[in-house]
Amino acid sequence: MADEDAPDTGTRSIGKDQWVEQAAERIDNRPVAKLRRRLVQTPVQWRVLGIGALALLFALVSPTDYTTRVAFTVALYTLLATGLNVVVGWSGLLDLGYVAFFGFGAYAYALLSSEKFGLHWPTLVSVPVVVLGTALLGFLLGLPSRRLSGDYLAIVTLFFGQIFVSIVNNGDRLQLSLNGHNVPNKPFNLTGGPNGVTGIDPLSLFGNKVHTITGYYVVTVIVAVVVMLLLYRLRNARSGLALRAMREDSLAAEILSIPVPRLRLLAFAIGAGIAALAGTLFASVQLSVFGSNFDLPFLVLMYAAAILGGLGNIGGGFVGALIVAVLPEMLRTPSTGRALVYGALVVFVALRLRPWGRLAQYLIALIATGVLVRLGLAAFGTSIRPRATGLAGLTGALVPHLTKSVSFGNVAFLTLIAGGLGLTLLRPKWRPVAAGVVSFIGMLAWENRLAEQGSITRQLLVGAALVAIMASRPQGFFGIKRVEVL
Amino acid sequence: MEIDPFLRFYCENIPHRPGSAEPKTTTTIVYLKGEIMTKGRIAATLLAITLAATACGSSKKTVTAGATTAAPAASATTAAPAATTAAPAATTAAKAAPCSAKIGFMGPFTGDAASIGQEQLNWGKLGLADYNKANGTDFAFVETDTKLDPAEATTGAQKLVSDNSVVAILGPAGSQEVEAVGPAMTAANLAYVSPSATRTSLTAGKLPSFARVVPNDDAQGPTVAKFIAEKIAAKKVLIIDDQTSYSTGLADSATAAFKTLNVTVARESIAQKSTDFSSLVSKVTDDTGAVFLPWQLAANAQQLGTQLKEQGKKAVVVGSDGVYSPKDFSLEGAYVTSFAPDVRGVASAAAVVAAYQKAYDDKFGTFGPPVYVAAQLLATAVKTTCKDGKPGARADVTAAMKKVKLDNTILGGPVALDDKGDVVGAKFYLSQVKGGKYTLVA
Amino acid sequence: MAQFVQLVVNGLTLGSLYALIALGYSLVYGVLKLLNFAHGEVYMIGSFIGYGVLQVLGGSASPSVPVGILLPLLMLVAALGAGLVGVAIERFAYRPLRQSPRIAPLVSALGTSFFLQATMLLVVGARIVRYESEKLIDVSSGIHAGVLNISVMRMMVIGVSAVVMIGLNIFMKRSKLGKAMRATSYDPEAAQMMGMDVNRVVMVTFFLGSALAGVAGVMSGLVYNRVFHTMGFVAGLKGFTASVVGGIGSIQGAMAGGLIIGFAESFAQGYVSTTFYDVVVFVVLIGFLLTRPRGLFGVPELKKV
Repeated sequence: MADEDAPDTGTRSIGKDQWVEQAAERIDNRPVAKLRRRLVQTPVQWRVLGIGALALLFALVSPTDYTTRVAFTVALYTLLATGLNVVVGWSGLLDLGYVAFFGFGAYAYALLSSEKFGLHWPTLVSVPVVVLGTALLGFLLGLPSRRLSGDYLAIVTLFFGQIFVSIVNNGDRLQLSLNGHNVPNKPFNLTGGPNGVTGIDPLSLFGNKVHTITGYYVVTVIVAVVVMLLLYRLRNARSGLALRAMREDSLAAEILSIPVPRLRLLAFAIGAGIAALAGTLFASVQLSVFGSNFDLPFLVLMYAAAILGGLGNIGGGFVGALIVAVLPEMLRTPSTGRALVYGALVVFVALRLRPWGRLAQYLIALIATGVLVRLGLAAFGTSIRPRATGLAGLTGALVPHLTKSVSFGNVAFLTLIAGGLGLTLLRPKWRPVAAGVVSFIGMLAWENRLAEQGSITRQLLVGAALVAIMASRPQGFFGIKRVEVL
Repeated sequence: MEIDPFLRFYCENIPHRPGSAEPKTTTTIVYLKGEIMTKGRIAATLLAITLAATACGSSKKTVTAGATTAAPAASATTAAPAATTAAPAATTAAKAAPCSAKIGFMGPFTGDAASIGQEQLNWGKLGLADYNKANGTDFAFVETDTKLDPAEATTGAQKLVSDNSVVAILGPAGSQEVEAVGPAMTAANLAYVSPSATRTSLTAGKLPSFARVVPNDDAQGPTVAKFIAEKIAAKKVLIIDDQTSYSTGLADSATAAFKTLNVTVARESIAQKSTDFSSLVSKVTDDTGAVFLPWQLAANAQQLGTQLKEQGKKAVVVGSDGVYSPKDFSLEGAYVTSFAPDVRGVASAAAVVAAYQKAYDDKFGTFGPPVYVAAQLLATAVKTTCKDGKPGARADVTAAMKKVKLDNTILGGPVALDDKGDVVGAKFYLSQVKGGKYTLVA
Repeated sequence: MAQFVQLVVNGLTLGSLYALIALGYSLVYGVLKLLNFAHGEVYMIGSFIGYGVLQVLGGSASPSVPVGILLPLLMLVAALGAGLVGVAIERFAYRPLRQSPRIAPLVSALGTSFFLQATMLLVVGARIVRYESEKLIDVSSGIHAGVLNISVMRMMVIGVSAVVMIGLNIFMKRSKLGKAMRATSYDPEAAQMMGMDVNRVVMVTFFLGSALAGVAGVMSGLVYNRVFHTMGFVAGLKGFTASVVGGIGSIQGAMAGGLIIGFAESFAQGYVSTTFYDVVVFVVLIGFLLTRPRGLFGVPELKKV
């Protein structure tokens, strides 16, 4: 989806080896490459609309409310990552207070339309008010950008985010003490503190209250598509071009009489507005808001979504959101995790260990390690536990599973980390054999420890996946390679 | 007789139960075909299976012990004293098709509150495994991590609600999570029992299918206030909350109770994640008679107490039930509340505690044992609705849950719910730390 | 008065630890222009390593070696272990991203944090463990003269940090490696052309920074006692703040920044509010940065057009 720097696939280059050229041509003529070319040639608006239409179709075929809920999360994260993209990807401003705007939007909606203060503003009034108000706040937070830049600006926005969380978390007993006088007399409960704001009104659009998760999903998809299309227009308008010029080199842009300070404020305001919009959707679907939803871990997650998708690309947010929202959900059930891990292992072995000789080396090493471990365990008289049915039983039969397995599993796991890291440092010649040994240790660790600690394993796998994805695609999925001037 | 694990696997996968006819080779093949035929090594497998099945007949006795059910909880806890009684119970239940159901389990198994969540996870697994053994049921947990994050909890709850085989839920742990998952649970009329959410307003009627096995904040605050005012005879008390839902609720309830007893109250708060409490400690005035800590983490309370001593402050520390953990909170002379006498001292709980200590460790606090009871409570409710091995509808389980009465729990007494979902007759106790041990004082 | 003195002591202890953590950020930033957001996890692992060694040597109640040897030993082992973890993080998480946009390593750092936290959760469990340092050295020992209350443990923390920081300064100024680090920080390409092995310099930088975090982890365990798998997050945040306030990339800046944050927190808690102390600290720091946009010791950036 690289818009501007799409690879020019049709040219014949001079001075290239003929074989290389033929090979390149063959690759170009593969169905996947053709499809990709077709996709790249489709205008961005149509692509966004197409994905939006597919997303709406999903609402019809979604088997359960849970899958719809996950899809809703993807749509919400897409919206948030897209807004973040405007600030970080287009304008090059490191905004670490972004999630505070999301939270501000959610809390503002919660206070205006809930039982908290008995205000029940209609959705079509409160949402625009909240979005504009937050955009104004974003504008104000952008003001220090006139003086600060780079990491110093980043940390000021980070402070803002932390201040927001602290105030929200402790906003249930607001009271100023000055020389023994308390203002106001009784502590004022603004945000509900750790108990949050509950009893929030659901969205009501044109007289219809949205009650189901499917309804929220549809609304969020439509909102995300509209926002993306608007942003696409902005991107190709004068301001968008100026924003990108500013990102590449703000000093040069300023000399070209681009109003850099004003553009920075614009970027902050747009980002804040989009985040607030997402916040109102979040508050209305949750029907309650709590400060802990808007803390730094969530900010980092949104950055991960924006970066994984590729900064600077409109569709990138969607891909990133898909990864950070769906991956942890797939790993939520331990049995799915098991299938995924073993599946990934098999696919990896099949793809990477060619020709067959290397595969044979791998398998022999795997089996040899297995036999050795079994002999070792038998020598020490360790008792092995019988296993369950299904896939767990199958793998359990291949890999010994000890009755007293906690420390054994931990050792196996630590060995797996050391071995896995060491593997990448080995000479290619030895890798199949080493991979076989490490695979068996991995299976030992999995069966003896990881499989029983589903929640921890989930976090482990998500972390490892993020590192691996970034290492293999440093630009993100649709990122544009560009040289940075430091 | 030690048998080869390969062999053992094939033996166990033969769908037969103790007491039924001898396994037939043909059934085995059909079963396994579905599992591994895709490997394309049918011939070799068939040979292995035939061998295995023949061997099964001779080695059956060693295999069946403790291995009939595949409940994940049975893994580390087969050593529980109930193990000997398990076999006959399972046999009788097998004839009438054991009641088999799934129960959701939500808790903060990772993240900042993982120290609480992991303890809850262990106790829950133990509770369900023991119940299964004693009643011949086949209940299993579907675990879902909430990270103590309401949004994460909502997604997890949605997953459990969408899974039709889940008939009840144990958890979530925090009051704010209970609030967040409420709408989804109410819509599905799915019973959920929290082992640790104490916010009073949760049982005010908004959440009809909710119940908890711990008393609410209104039960604890006044007890503590009365004790501090009368026994410690403090004129001035400092209450420090740790900015969590549990803590602020309890602090508010205690503050109100102190007011009626004419005790001056100062209120501070500090985030649970704070590294250092020493500057807060510096603010403790010399006329402060007691410091009340409604905290969740015993180690934090221990640290604050140590720093009081470091700075030469004389105030007495009183911890809430969240701090009750003899291994982690052992400040000489301090007091700590609990809503049940220590399970380590309850006679009927001795076997369970021993099993827990054997399987995990002995450093548990107050958040674990209620989970055991909650698991028992839910399992009992599900079992009463069971017919032909299938649990009743969710609405039936919810109705049954409210009527459950456990005669003798590991908490040292009966547990029953009132119609709002609160525990009947909640009472609080106070212990003092003396020589590293907790001594009941009130 | 008594409270003021006590707050100074508290601020100095806390600030010394923050400074040690901040140094790790600044060293790495100086050489690679990279914000190592997984640094807090290294601190956490250092703290756990110290705890592990303490347990192996008999625990706080009955250590098998004299306290005078035990404490340096804890710090040395933790520094070594944490240093190795840091080197591994650089090698496997950051090196593949050396040429990518500056923001990209953020995701790798996030992944690394997830992974390391989960690893510790799995291997050592979720319980908050305590060093129980009060059993090693009684908290009421130390100087108690009039308004001054300072325990031996706090004196040790402040002293060790001071020694470590002075040592680091000398290392950076005098040693060949230190000079190589400064040269690489100034212009990596030119340094490479002069025959310096940039990868080696980066490795040493990560080792040093992480080792400092490991020492900080052990000392935090000794004074504040609590060790748990998510402790690195807050500490890393504070360290990052301190390094930016001091002027990121500057070594003196990181030290000063750490002390500034330590004092600001201590005084905000003591005199303003414990509930909102971080709000107070952050507002003050925002004001400070607006008057000094490049931090305390930061140099104005030269811009090429």
